Amino acid sequence: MKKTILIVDDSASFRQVVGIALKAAGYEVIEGSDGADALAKMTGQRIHLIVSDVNMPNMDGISFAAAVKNMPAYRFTPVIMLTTESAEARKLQGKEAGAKAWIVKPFKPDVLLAAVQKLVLP
Amino acid sequence: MPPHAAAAGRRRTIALLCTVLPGAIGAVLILTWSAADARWIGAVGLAACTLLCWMLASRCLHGEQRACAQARAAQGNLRSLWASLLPVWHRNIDTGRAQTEQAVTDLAVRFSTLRDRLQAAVDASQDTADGGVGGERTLLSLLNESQHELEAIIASFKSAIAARDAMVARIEQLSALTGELKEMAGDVASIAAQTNLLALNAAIEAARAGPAGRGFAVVAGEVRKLSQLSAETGKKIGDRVEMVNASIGQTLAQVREYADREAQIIDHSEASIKTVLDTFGDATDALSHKTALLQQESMGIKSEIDEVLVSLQFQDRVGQIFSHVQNDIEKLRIHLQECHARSMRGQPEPQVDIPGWLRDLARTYTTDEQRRLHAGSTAAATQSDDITFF
Repeated sequence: MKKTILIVDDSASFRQVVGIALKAAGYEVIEGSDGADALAKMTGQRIHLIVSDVNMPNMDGISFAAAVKNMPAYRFTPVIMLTTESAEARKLQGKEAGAKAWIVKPFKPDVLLAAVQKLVLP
Repeated sequence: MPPHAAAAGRRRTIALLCTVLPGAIGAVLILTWSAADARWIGAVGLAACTLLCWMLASRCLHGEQRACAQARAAQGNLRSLWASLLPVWHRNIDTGRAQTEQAVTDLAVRFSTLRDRLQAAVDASQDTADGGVGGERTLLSLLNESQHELEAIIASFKSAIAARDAMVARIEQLSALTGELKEMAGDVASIAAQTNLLALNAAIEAARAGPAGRGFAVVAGEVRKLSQLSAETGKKIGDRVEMVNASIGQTLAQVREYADREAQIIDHSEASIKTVLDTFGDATDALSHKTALLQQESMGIKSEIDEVLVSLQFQDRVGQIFSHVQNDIEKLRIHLQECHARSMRGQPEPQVDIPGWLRDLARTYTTDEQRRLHAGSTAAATQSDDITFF
């Protein structure tokens, strides 16, 4: 059975690109346009890993990661931040919010897939 | 200080000097000179100079007011221009961003579909090369199996021909036997003839013996009958053997003819089968080679499509950059609106903290390239291997 990954990004085209890379590696994909939308869509779903942008309207990625960590059903679901931000202060914020990895855009598919394969839930 | 304000200041200074100085000179004349005429002259001169200076001062002030009015009008015009232009820029950038986002999304979907169709075509060609039978059987193994089965059929044909050749050999032996039978029939006829002759001689001797030889003559006569019967039987046997031999000979000739013809047919079939199998083998080799080439090319194309899809990430960065520019344009529009409102109320316009404004703008940046551009560099973004695990 295929594993499911939640992609959260306010850019529809970017969600497409990430989705294509993950589907090619054999994963199922669910998409959210921001943190709030993603929380609504993931409820009741079995999620094996989350890939989230940081700068989004309604709810940014840092707040979203913190919210996921507080949800009993998803507190162990790994979150990878995929963002244009590279400042150490922001990375620290992501780490404190519960993220497991931080990848700077534009990404190379093999780098993302390596992180996914390392962190995805069994 | 703006140039027009500096010029207005100079004019005010000149006006003030022109007003105060002649009055001071006239007062000195009146106070220091004792002669009445001199005082009159001083007073008239004082009055004339004061009048001229007042006129000059008024002109300067009027000019200053006109310049200020012009400056205010130009400022208002510029403000109106910004108020009209900034929203248009904002909408244009927004439209460009939205159209680019949509176009890139469509492109990503199309390339993804192309990639999936390419994979399906490669899978189908691989399936064809496998002979459509799946599992461990490939087209090549199917070809080998077919070759073995056809060779087995040819072998069984040849086995049947060998069996028939054996049968022909046995028939030939039979023909030889009938030859012997014919000889034996001839011997029987010969014996019968000699027996007949002997019986004739016995009859002659019996006749010579007279009445004593009557019994012998009867025996001789019976023997003669037997010899005649033997001769007839022998002849019949000979005739029958002749017929059987002739029939065997015809059958043998026909069988040999059929055997030759079938051997030719089998040789021809064997050659045809070999030609077909060789052609099939060549076609299979060519198909396998082309399938391998197709797979190789398809993998290359898929890899290129993946690179294109990754390159389309630019839209996300461009969208963020445009968004920050849009926000700053809006901020500028609001500031200019406030300046205009204050100006209408006669209040002083707020001064812009330009370094502060730029600092605030830099704080909104989300990409390294924006920060580099802000600092005056033109370095572009590159794909990153940067990954940090926590």
